[in-house]
Amino acid sequence: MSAQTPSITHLRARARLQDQITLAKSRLVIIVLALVGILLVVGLGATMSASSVEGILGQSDRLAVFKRQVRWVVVGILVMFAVMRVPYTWWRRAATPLLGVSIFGLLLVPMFGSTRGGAQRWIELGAITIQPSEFSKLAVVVFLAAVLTDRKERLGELQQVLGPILLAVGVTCALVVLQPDLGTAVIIAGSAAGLALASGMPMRFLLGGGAAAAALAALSTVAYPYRRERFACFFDPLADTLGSCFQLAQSLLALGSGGLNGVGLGASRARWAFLPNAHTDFIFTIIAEEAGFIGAIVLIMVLAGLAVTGVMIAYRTGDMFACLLACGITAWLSVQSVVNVGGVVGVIPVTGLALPFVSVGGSAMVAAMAGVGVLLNIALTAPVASEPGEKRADV
Amino acid sequence: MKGQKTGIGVKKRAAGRSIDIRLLTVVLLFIGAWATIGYRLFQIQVVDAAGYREAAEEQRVRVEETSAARGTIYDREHRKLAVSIESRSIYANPRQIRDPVEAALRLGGILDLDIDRLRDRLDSDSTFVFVARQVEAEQAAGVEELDLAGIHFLVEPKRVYPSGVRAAHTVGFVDIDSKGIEGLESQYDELLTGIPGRVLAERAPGGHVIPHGRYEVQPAVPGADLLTSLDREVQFVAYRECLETLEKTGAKRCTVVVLDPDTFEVLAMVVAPSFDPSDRSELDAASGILINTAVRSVYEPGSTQKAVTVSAALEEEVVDWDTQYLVQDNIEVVDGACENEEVIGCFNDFSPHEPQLMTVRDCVRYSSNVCTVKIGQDLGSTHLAHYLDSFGYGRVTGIDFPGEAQGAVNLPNGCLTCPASASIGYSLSVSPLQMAAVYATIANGGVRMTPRLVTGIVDGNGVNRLPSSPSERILSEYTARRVRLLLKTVVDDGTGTKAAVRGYTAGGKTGTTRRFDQDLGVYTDDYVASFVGMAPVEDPRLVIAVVIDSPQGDSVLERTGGAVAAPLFSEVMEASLHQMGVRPDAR
Repeated sequence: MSAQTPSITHLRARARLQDQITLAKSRLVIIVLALVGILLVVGLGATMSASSVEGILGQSDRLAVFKRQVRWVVVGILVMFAVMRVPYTWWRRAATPLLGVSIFGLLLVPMFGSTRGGAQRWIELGAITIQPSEFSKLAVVVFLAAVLTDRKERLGELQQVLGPILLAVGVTCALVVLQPDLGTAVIIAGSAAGLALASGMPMRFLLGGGAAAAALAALSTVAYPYRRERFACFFDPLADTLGSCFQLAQSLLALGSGGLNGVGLGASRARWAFLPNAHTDFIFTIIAEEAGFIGAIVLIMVLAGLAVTGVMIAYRTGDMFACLLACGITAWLSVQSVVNVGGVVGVIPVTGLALPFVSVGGSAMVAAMAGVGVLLNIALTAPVASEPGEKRADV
Repeated sequence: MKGQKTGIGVKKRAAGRSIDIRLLTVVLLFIGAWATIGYRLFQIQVVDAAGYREAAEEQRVRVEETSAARGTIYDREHRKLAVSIESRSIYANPRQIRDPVEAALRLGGILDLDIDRLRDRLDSDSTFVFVARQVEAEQAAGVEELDLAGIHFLVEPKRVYPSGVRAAHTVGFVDIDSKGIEGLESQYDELLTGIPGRVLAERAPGGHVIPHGRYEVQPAVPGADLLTSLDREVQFVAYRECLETLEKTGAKRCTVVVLDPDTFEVLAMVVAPSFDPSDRSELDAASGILINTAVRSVYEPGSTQKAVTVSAALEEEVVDWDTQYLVQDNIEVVDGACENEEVIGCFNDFSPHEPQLMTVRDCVRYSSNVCTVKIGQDLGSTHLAHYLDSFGYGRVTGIDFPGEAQGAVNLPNGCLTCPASASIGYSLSVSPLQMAAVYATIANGGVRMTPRLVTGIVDGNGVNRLPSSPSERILSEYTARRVRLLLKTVVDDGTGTKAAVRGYTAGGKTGTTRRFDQDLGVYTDDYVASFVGMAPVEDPRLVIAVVIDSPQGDSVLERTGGAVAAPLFSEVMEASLHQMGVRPDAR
């Protein structure tokens, strides 16, 4: 093997390898784009169906919500491609300032935020409304990926990991829970847990942290009566189809009505003011009612496929920061999907979250698309481990 | 970057493998979560789907009744007496009303409602309260202009009565929900109502019909129209004359029944004072103003009864019309009753007179009580009772009208005064309709039928003429004609001259009785003045019974049937015969 003067064959072999790597990378990118594209299309279709009734009953523009969401999808796609062009390494340098901005944004909410449905989560900027907590998810994931990569040699030491986790996850979650928005806190904690799990942190820390988070979640559930009721509904949803359980009960009735084949696209009955938040938190219900079990399973496979692809991107890279960031973003999007759909079908308590890429909502759409942009940049530019032993070096 | 083969590399390799396992764990966790959700979905959407689907449908599917259009009531010339139109009602959803006080003030002003009570209703916790039902079009438009939040409209059928007060007692009326509660509206309510339709539809909670959902319509079957025998013009004339008589005489009530003796169809049935059948809000029902006295109240017929006594005596050939009686001005049925001036057992003529010979004709013409009692005695109480029964005393006529009074006949065995009383129209009670039917039998050549108001029903299958009632002969043709001629003498130069009808021969009988107070059980100082008669005499086209309750006047003579009721008979008869185009048969 003459290393000094590479032979033509050698160069050809290298080029071929390079081609294969590029091909593999672009394959992952195409898969991610395809899956996200499917979710966006399904989301817009379901939005059109679910939100039109509000317009009909209110005698206003039945496509108003749909049109607004189309604009948000366009913005989201632009943001995704823009973020895709930002080298992922930039995020590592920006991690701390980003977290600072995120916490600052959350601090603005109690001061200037607007209140809807008893929760103060939004900041109004002229015509658009921003939900800072949606962007906190990305900030926390970026920060943790950066810090844990910095300290990768000392992940076994509690004092090394506890501080940053408490700062990022603890403070953010606390601010979010106060809004109150327990659901988003659960997502942040969940994506942090996914990221931490991948980092190679000792299991005892993870289990301890998980137990602490569960205890806090339980405590805040007990503290609020409406959460207690929702929790009780989770066990017996049909006991009170009109009272506090009506959301879940109506969701189950709609799902059951959909049956195997669905009632047909655009023919949902639940959207006729039976199911509240049909185009936001419960959009999965509308899809499953219209497209049936078959459609619902396809959608679940797309969501699960996105999780697998995201982890694949994390797996392929030899850069630990890229790996953790990809894993964190994937965990964020997947935990949110699981918590949303799980709540809608009654597997876990309803928390009031958007289904990423599908539900109506501007901030959530833009944040999720930005997350995908980061993921795509990693897939395209992060160094690939040529053999397993060389993976996840800090480059 | 690559190719490092140091100890650290080995360590990294171990760390890398550990991270791979961790990543695999993350993937497996998500796949596990999605699998759990998928399994749960399978349970809901496939295994248990039917139960959920049923429960969901149950909360969507609503069945609503659609009311059938209520039938129209026509007179004999197809003129409308009662008809349903669409009107608007105003209701409120109090939960949508921001300022009940202001809303009440503004609505109350337009609708003329009590503001305080309206405010209380608008302030309630319900989601539906009526503000005003079936309002005038201008009022609804005015409220619409206010454009108040929480105020809504709905279209409701409203019953209107083109004949108004003039036929209120006969046509009857409906309640606010168009359910017949009086008169023909009540009698034929089921036919008029029709069969309500049904709309089964999937609806949103607010009531909006969900497109593409189940939608099944069972149309309402409209109510049938009634063709009545009433003649609006005759009805109107009779009502007008009644009002005039009430004004002239100060009487309490005027009741008129006009029958066609050939068919026993009621051409008019009038009670005055009357009321507006479409707005009864100011009425005091306890005053009895709603009662159709023609059918529902009874009185002692008095002298009009004499036609029956004489008919029976002639038919049984107990007397001929030239048979003479020696008539004093009183007659004792109980020994010594007249000498002792007792009320019971002594019958007096209207005014004192010397004993004189009177033929049966004269008895009727001058309405002698004493003479008629004698004829009654010759007839015998068994025969009298038989004829009373044949003429329908003590039984309902069977007219198609609700709540008919049957009257009473008081002829117990051993009662000495009762047959005498009965022969001159006391100790028995009849309704004006019953009396009209008695005279209609005489007018109809002795054949009795059942009086009726409705002659045909118009439904989806077309016009259905109702068969006339079975007829029953009570008197021979011959007797009936002779009685009519006797009655003619009353009008020609007897007690009923004021009943004479210009251009037509007329026959009839006056009646004047002390008014019996049902509640107190005593005779009062008031009178019931009546006249029952027919014209033309040879072939009567109309029978009219007029009963005036408690006419006032300085002397008794001004309060008799001949003075009060006969002129009304004359006016109504003349106008009605003209109206019907009957050829005059007299000079």
